[in-house]
Amino acid sequence: MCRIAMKQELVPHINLFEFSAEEIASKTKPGQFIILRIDENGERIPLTIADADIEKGTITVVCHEVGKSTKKLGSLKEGECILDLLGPLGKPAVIEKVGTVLCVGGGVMVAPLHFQAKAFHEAGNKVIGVIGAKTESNIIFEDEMQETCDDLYVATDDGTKGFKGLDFLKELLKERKINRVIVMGPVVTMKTVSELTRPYGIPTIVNLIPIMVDGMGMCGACRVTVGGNTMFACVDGPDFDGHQVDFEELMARMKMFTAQEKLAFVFQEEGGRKL
Amino acid sequence: MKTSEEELRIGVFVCHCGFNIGGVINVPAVVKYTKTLSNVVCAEENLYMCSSAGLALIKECIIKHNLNRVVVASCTPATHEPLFRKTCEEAGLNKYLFEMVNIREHSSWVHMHHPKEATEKAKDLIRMAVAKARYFEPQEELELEVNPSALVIGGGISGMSAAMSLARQGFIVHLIEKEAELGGMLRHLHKLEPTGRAASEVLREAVTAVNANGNIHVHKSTLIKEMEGFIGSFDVTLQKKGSRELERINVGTIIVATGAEAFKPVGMYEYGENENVVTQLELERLLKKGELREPKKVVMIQCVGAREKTGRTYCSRICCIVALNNALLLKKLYPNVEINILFRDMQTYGEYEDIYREARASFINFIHYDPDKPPKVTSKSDGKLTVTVYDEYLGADIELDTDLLVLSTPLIQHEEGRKLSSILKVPLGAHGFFFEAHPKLRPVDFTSEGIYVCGTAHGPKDITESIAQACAAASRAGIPMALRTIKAGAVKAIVDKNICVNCDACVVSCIFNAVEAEAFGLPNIVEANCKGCGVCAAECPMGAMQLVHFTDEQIVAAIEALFEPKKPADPSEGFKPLVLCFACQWCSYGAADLAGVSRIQYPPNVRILRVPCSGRVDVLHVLKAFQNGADGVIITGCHIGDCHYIDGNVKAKDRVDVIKKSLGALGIDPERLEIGFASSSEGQKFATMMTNFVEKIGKLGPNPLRIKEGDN
Repeated sequence: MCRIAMKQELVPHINLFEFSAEEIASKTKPGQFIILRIDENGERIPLTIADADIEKGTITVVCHEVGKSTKKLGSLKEGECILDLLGPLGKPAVIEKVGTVLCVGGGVMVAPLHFQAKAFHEAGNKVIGVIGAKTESNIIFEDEMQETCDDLYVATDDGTKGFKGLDFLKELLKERKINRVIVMGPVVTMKTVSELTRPYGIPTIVNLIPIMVDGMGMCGACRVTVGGNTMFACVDGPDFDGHQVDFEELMARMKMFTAQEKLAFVFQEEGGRKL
Repeated sequence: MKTSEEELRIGVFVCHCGFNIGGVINVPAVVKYTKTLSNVVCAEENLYMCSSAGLALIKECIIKHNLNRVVVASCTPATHEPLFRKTCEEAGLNKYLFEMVNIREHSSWVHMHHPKEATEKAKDLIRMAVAKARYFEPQEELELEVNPSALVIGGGISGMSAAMSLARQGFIVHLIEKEAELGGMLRHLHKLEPTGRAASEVLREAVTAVNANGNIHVHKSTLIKEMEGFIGSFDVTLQKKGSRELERINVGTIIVATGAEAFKPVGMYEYGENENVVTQLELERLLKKGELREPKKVVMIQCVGAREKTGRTYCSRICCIVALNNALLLKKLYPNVEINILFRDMQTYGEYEDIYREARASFINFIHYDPDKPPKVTSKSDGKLTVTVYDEYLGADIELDTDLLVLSTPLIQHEEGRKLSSILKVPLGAHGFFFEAHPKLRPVDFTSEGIYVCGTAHGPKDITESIAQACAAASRAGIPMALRTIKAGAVKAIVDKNICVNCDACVVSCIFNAVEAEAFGLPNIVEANCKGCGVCAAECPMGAMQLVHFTDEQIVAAIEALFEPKKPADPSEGFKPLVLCFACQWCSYGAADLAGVSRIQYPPNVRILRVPCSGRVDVLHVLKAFQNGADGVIITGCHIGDCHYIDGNVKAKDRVDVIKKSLGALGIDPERLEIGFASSSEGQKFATMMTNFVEKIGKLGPNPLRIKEGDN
């Protein structure tokens, strides 16, 4: 059992959780993830770690309610427990002094991105942050990123806040000398940014969390094609070279179970009634 | 109800269709019943609702009762919906506030001996339509301006033919060629059979005509870099080879005529090792340049790298003919040459059979070889070759000494074609060639509107076929450009960005490139590309994606209305199953119509709900039907491979398989859900499908959820 030490609704349907997990907290590095189960029959939810506090013995994750299980997670209250928490999983991000690091985050992944941005900053890098979401009301961690980054840009798909889309990065990449790019967010965000940095040859690291089951390299559900080779995101990643990832395949693979997901969601939504 | 501030005023018009409906269904009883439905402010009947008197009645009522929704219960919308919609518009009512109920083909004609049940069915269908109509909203149809200029990619014979055809019709054409010269494959060919004319001569005429035409802008040594936009207005970025300068042009339509290249069989039959081993295309180049040394003995091997067990499994169609032409040419040039053609099957279709006869008569030898025992080739020190082949007639290997070995290799897609496929977002088929929207119904269209294909880019063809296809593509491209504006139906996808969780299931599911993902995953609907199938709406796990005029709200309202008021099973009457049938508006609805026209009777327990595509049917709709008491649900669509939206029916089938696995958990037998396919010519099949399904449901008994309802 694992207790929710703190829960905070960042924006509607996006919650921040601090789980009491002393051992995991003491070993967590930016870029790693956990897999949690709410109950015995629960789906295994992989979430990228957004912070770890060794003193408090907690790890932080941010979760968007996008289906049955995440909605259930969102309904839990502070002090309540989930069945189990597994982690830290995956290889930690490579944090080193390279010069200027551009950190681009989309949606809920801005939270774990902040964890990495902080580490890059502490390692002596200049950090340029770009955070975004579909619309203004879904922007999270803006204050935290503001504090961590030397410069921060905000963008939305609908233009309700900051830049509209990521086209402005073209200018930024032209003007600034950037030594490394970190992208965490929806697959399309990672794909878009990787395409933008490719002509400049800037090392671009993406954090892939495809459909996962065990998270320890046994099941192969999280297969991704990187540079023509099949890799397991859980043990070979989750960080990969964005210029080598087959994003089209990843997008298609992530939609393999939409019918099941919807069925589960509709069952739950309608469950209160006759079904 | 979205239009909550407006009071709903629904008018229902029930047609007798002479005796066709009125002879079976008790129309006055239906009208009387209809008046009891909420929001229905007027219900009328007429002998023929489509007669001028009937139409006048509808218009009069719209004005008199200030109707804001109209439902006509008569025949099939396939024939009469445009007429009734127009009538509504004439009376000032938006045509998307109209719904049609088919009580003739789907009731009176198929339940001729069950007037009571047919009448009940008509009431149910009208109640469903009224429920759906409550959620209708007026829609504006998208009008797109079409730039009357076309982009033709590829300056080979296909591209030049398409460009000429369009230019002659008065359209501006940008003709793009990646090489420094126009001509494509034709530049390398020698003589064209059956006329025997030099390819260079034919090419010169074509190039002269293209250059002389003021409407054609030729861009040589140019590649396509990027493409954005949709039919009517494609923004295309061109790049000259070796230059960093980009040129942007805007065109209304695009024709892909990028051709193909001949497979180079490196590593097979000493090719690349011995200079006396060449492909047919290389032989033609040698002949054309006059560089061929006179051969004494020639061997040709057919199907080199073609018709393989995996990979290039296809027949390249033209290689047998090319081999025969070249063999005959060699015979004419060097009458004493000995030619052996090693073949698997000679495929000289149509009039090309004459060339085969001529070759036989010219003493060219044909030796059949078994693909499992292919010929073996060894080089000798003097550069000559020995070909060993197992002859089935002799039952032994024969050795052929030769000084020229010619390999017949298939046409294959080239690298530029593959790149173009991803730039234009048009698909390649299993063999790597460009893939048309439908092999029978839309042979030169892509699924993306405004983009067409012709020539060997689409698969191996001879020159005649390539030119014919080029003219077909030009003719198709000419339609929107001649019209200058095109109207797209208002049935389009829409997204509620507040509900959307940016999972991009819609983006992945849409094969028409109508849903694009913005930088952070918000879907952007390219209305001009949207075909209105609703697959994305059914795939959306959140219900954020909807299809205008077929929203979840509207479909669920119709489903709930079918079972309202609740009909608890009455044991004294015996079990009468109630089955909901989702029918796609194309094939399966058409099949149901044909069953009606053919008066093929089936049990009156089925209620048909029209959807654009079986792929629109959502797990929500199926669960709602069972939840509300459906004893059975059957989804019907076009046959696999015949879907009007390419693979909506496949997605529907996959979804049904998933739902079936979970129905048991609700206490519902998975057998109560079925998917069936029928073409619009299969009225009998549709009727049989319904009969069998109703019979099966009859054996299963009432939906357990419905019994529970009765108990309460």
